[in-house]
Amino acid sequence: MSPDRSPEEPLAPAALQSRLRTAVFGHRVFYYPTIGSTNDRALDLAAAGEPEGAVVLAEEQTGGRGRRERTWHSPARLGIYVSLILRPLVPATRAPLFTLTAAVATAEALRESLGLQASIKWPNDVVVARRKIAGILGETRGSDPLIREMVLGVGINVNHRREDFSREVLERATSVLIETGAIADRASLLAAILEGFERRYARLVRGQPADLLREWVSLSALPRGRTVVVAGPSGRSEGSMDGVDEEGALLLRLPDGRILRVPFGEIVESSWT
Amino acid sequence: MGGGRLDSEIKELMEYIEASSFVEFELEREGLKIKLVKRAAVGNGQAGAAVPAVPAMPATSPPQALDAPAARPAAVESPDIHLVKSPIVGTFYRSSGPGSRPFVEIAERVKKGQVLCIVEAMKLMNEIESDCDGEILEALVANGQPVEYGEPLFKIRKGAPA
Repeated sequence: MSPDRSPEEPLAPAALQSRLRTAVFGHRVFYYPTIGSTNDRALDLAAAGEPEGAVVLAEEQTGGRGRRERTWHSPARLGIYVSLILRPLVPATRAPLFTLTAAVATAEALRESLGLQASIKWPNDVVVARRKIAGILGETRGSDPLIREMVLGVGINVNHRREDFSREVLERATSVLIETGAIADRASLLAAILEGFERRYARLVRGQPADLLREWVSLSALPRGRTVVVAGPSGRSEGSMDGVDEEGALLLRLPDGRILRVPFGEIVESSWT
Repeated sequence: MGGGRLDSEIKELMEYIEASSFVEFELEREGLKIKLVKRAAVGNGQAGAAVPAVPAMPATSPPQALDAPAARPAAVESPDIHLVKSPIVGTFYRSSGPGSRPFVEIAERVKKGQVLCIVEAMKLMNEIESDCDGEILEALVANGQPVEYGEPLFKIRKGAPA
């Protein structure tokens, strides 16, 4: 893929659309030079009836969010800050599968378009060389048992140099530029992610997650058997990675051989080597 | 879609409708039309059988009644008391972040569609909205605690905003 002439080249809708090979996703683009949070804007657009597949794209987020009001550092024109509107109409318990899928599509695009050894840390952090390169945050509103509207926000560190991160963040974050030494074309990367996501989406909506879960396992940063400590709903548990089930829950093999299902939580310790 | 898959999906759907506040539900998709009607009156505590309309469905077991946790006997609906339930398994939060005020306080009047809390599972933040106008009587779960699917989160006294 051809690199940007400079990292300051905008990620304009026309640049994205000239590279898109999707049927629907990414063809309607709401583009902002600067915005508070792409997810907030996308939720508002979804509530106003915007159809599935529309994306909110921003060059800069002044209030980029992770979970629980953690900030996502979103400097102008360096990263990809995008939110996709979905209307899957599937039971809400399957919602986590969509964030897992976004992680799979993002990791795959980083590998295939850019040659990076990207992998996924459960549930959906995308990491390269143990450092976070992309984060996913899904949001829904309502209390329906079916998901009528959902937004998936993806933040990717692309053309950040080391000096674009604080020292603290640099310890656990990286970017495409830091890993490859080259400026990457953000529009091509985003087009590849949207294509990869759309390809898997229809199967998920039909309730066929098996292929997706196999791919997720194959991209896992922590392979089967690796010892981890997981903080889940029933506290901390140590065991070895055993996989994920059909709702995306982590399966942990405990020292006594039993399998513990962790429906949500995070991996707090792992032996990476 | 294989018959077994369809059966299990419809069964799953029935369970969701059962736990929801819907009395009647229709879905039309991919040449399939399903209509589910709860037979039991809302709030009498009896498990309502969901009745699929078209096409005729093979017999499936009726959805289980979702018991309120034993520790919370007060969580019972009545004509003027509504329970907002969690649509997913996850962690319950009353505010958008550690430094923020709760979305709603006890005794506060809320409107239908107002965000009451967040239930999070795997970086999916589900903003739970009130499904009626009324007054928050009680939060049934403590901040940061795990909640089950269908678990009551708030007790609301129904009524139009003053």
